[in-house]
Amino acid sequence: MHVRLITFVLLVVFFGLMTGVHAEEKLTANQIVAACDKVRNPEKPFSFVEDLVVYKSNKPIKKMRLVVYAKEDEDSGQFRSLIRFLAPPRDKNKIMMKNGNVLWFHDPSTKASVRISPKQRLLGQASNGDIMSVNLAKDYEAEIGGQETIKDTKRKNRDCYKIDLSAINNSVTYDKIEFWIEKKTFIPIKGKFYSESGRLLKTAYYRNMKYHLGRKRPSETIIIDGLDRKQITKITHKNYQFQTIPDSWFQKEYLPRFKGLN
Amino acid sequence: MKAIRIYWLQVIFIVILAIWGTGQSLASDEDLDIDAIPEEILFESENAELNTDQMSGQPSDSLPENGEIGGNRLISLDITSETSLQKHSIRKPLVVPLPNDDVVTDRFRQSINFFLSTNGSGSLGLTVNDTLHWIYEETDESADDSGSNHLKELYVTWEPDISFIGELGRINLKNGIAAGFNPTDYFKKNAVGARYSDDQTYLRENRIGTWMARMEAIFSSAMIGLAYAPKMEIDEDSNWQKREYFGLGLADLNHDDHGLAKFSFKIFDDTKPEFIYYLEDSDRPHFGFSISSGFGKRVIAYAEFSLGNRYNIISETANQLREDGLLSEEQEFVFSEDKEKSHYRQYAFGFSYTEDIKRTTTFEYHYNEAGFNKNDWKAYFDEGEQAAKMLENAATAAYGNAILGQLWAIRDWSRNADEPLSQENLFIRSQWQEVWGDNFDLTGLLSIDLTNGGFIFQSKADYEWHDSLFISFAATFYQGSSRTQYGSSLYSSSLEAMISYYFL
Repeated sequence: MHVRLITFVLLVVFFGLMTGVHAEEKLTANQIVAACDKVRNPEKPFSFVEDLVVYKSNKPIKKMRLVVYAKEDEDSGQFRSLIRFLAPPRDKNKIMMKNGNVLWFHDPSTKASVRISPKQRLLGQASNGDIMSVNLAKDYEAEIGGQETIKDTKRKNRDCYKIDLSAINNSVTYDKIEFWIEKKTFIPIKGKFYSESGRLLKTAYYRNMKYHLGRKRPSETIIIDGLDRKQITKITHKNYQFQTIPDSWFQKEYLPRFKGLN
Repeated sequence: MKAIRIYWLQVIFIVILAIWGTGQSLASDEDLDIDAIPEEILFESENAELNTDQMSGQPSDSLPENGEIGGNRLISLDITSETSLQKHSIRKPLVVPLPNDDVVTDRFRQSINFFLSTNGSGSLGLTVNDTLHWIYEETDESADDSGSNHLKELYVTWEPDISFIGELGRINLKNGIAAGFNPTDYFKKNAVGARYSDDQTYLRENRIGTWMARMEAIFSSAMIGLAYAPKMEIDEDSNWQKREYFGLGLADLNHDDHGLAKFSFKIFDDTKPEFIYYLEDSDRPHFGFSISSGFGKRVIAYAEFSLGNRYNIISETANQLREDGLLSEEQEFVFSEDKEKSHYRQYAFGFSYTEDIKRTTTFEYHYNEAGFNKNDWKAYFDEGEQAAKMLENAATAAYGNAILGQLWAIRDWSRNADEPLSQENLFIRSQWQEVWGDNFDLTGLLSIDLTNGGFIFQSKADYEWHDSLFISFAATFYQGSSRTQYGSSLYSSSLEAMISYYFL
């Protein structure tokens, strides 16, 4: 009786696990990342406001506000972004544009449009890749690194896919990313970002899920510096709106005349 | 027997659980990262969450200023104040002395800049960009103060649809992608209203525009642009023309007719060359070309080229002096002049490299065929030395001074035209953000004269006191042997301390 019971339990556990594994195997790593991209980015052209605050030893030392306009390129599937700086006053009306692998920066005070590299940073640990909309599935090869239960910033357990991303586009900001995506919702919970040499550059937590343009999306990213863990950058995403964004905005020549939308 | 079976079943059970556990682990190590985030930051965020409309996602207390959506406003006004103190070290003796020894050694400058742009009334907009300067200067012998007004831009924009724009007024039209010298920046000649600083950022921010009409049509992967700036004849003595106080310097950049046509189109995903045809004074056509490309995530390479039918710098200076009435038609210039215009090449190419430590360094090679070659420099210093000797004799002093004036006029012309005086130059600029602490940036600039030796080195430190207040220190050194461009410059070094305040 005892043996039968244990055998039964074992069979239930075994088949239960196999069934579970089988169900999860239906989704490839790329599909999981693509689903997560849809959580992070609305499907139609949109704009949103980002507030960046850099903290050092728990004190805010720098602040920045910008508005991002993003539109998916039908050919490449990647996002094109136009970013206008609203604050601080010295940076007001400066513009950054990303079209494919091309980034331009325009300073209205000097009238100069300068082409910049993906590595050039904006503020604190926030790189261009952090503030712009990016479809990770298009720029990275994904592998499922396992399934893990990790805590979110409210210290709640979240069952996640751990996805290992390796860059296939050599102009992306990070070469390797470890990404934890919640299994049920495909909401990103955490990311770790690495350099070519494998050095940890930053750790990011995605939090404060809110309804933006039709679905729950993270409205806040908290970035921990890879070297100086006392340096924290908080990015708040808000005021999401669908927008009509013409393709001509993503031309260098348009930057001096770009004033945003009413 | 039964006990053994139970034992093995238990072992298998544990193994299965272990295998499952490997894939479905509670990643406790990963959770340690949360401890790096101070509770206050997390708490602050959670409080913000409570103040948010969960359905719209719009924080109830943090809409952008003035209720604007996306940060856009009908009228945008920026006011900036700059207070600067400069100390110059004069080089003595000079191989080519100045005809006039009264040189500024100390300068105090207070500048207020107003930038207003409107985005209302449907397709029409207005842009005004104006700077008021008050200057106090000391020389070895005297002291004086003066005021001037630079109307840098004043234009109306008409944008009937997103692909088309028309503009009319005084417009600062800038072309080119290189950091140091822009051969295709055809509206740069005499564009810096007043050279109160050697700081490159200051010079770029203080360009004044040209009166022109321009239009641009921008499509998804191409653009066409046209600009026309007419010659304006305004009496130089008129109050409209004078810069002092509220004069507008109306015709400063409209001495000749200028026309420009620009075309660019995407040939690869990340490559979009720009072609420019520029015509000055109806008989000086120029053809320009620029291109840039990214290599990996750190390197941007670029090139700019211009071929223009014009005179060399020597003849351009002589023509300018005649136009200004400082050299008569019959008078010979110190150097032989071009009889006719020729095709001169100018180009700049280089790359920028970004490091993880937030430092971006630019390396550029500049070539100006119309500039001085090694022989020109030899002749320049030979003539200068002879003219200096003439000053010792009262009978020849006036002639010597005239020669010296012409020699210095060549330098002035090159500087005002924003063209390198020597044919070949190497330009290196490095910008390092957050060098020490989070608010301290450093910029270094080195320009080496490859034709005749010597270099200019500029180092600038910027400290962000707070969001609106910046303090900067700049030191510029002009070095080289006495018979080089920089070793023979008027100043051997300049120091500048500046406070910038952004009101709005």
